[in-house]
Amino acid sequence: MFPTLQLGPLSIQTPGFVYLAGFWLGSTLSEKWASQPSSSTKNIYNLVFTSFIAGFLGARLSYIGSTPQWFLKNPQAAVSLNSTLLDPVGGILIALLAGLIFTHKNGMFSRDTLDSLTPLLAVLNLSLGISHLASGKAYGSVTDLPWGIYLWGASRHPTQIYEILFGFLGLFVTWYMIHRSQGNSGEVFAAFLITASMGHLITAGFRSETSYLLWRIRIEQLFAYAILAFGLWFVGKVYGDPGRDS
Amino acid sequence: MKDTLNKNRIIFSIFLLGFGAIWIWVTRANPDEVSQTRISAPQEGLLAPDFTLSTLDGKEISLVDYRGSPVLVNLWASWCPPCRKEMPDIQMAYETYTEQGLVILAVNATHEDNLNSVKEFVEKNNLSFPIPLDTTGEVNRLYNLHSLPTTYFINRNGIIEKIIIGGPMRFPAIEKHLNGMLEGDQ
Repeated sequence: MFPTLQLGPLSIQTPGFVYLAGFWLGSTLSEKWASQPSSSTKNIYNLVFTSFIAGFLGARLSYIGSTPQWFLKNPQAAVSLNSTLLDPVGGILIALLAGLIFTHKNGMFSRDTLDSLTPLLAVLNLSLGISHLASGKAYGSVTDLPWGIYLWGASRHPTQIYEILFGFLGLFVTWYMIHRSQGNSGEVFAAFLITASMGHLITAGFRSETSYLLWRIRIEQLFAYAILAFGLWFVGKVYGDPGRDS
Repeated sequence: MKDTLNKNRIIFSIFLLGFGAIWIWVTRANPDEVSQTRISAPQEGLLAPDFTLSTLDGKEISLVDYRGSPVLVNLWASWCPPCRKEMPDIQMAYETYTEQGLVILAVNATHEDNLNSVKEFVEKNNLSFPIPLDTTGEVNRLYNLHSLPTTYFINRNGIIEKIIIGGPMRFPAIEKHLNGMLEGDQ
């Protein structure tokens, strides 16, 4: 496990580096594959960039909102690059909101845009597994299966490897759907959603550290199940109204 | 043709949803296995590895002695800029939450530090929590230390709730991670 990469005096957090690299690679692929008329390369780039900046600012603002008194006493901290002063949930919500506003304003609110963004989502999904492998988090339950890996004091399911394999599957499905597209707007996104949610649903079943609800049902699996159900419903919408809706 | 495709899609959807539901039920969490309390390793959700060290004022302390209290273990060195920067915020957290039982152990990487610099830094910043001295690098090895500072938030049962690698960690961040621990398992 390599939670940090040491470059001379510089200590880089590997998970953060993996997400950033994934974001760069994913947005490059999204721009490259954005061939639909309503989502030109420039628009996709602007959408991704706007959401990223809004997400970053939103994460800091949301953090400031949770402890305003401290920031009033230490105003310089509001503009520091300190990653511990970011609220990821607030950041994601504001990034989504900014993305929605951008797509509405630029006439990009369509299933084509979702298709164009799918390569980015697929690479980020793969990055999640790689970052877990680097940090040793999201580790598996104890097993005596021959492919178990010795980690954190026991032989465990290599859940991070399972995640990476499903991540590659999601990326392959995205690539395949883009190149074999039948012209149904939204089908790339729907296919990725179903593959990724199934991947998380299966992998989470092997996790050791987990949060659960009534009847010990894992929260992550319920969340993946809801996305799977949405993906299947979305497929129905895609093939019920197959035309490009630009 | 279209009807056949729709039918196939419905069958496929029912199959996936059915499989998903069965899988969720079959792989329900096992609380005994989930907690893994018997396994000690430097990772979130596992039992914090125990250590015994002498502190700067000559007392001997063991992590296990603080079972029942929320503990913040900070691994630091006096030459490390982010470690120096976050120490006043850790002191503030100590002063704010010590009445609620918070224990802070700022383990100094003495094997790669200068003891006089450590004493000088502690005095200058009026640090009142224990400073265990890791003179052999035992804790560094035990906790698989990759970067300084690294902070471990350990709950009342001795389980690592959160690991923060790097810094400086500011007071609101410390407070955020402590709050859950101070409220829980009372």
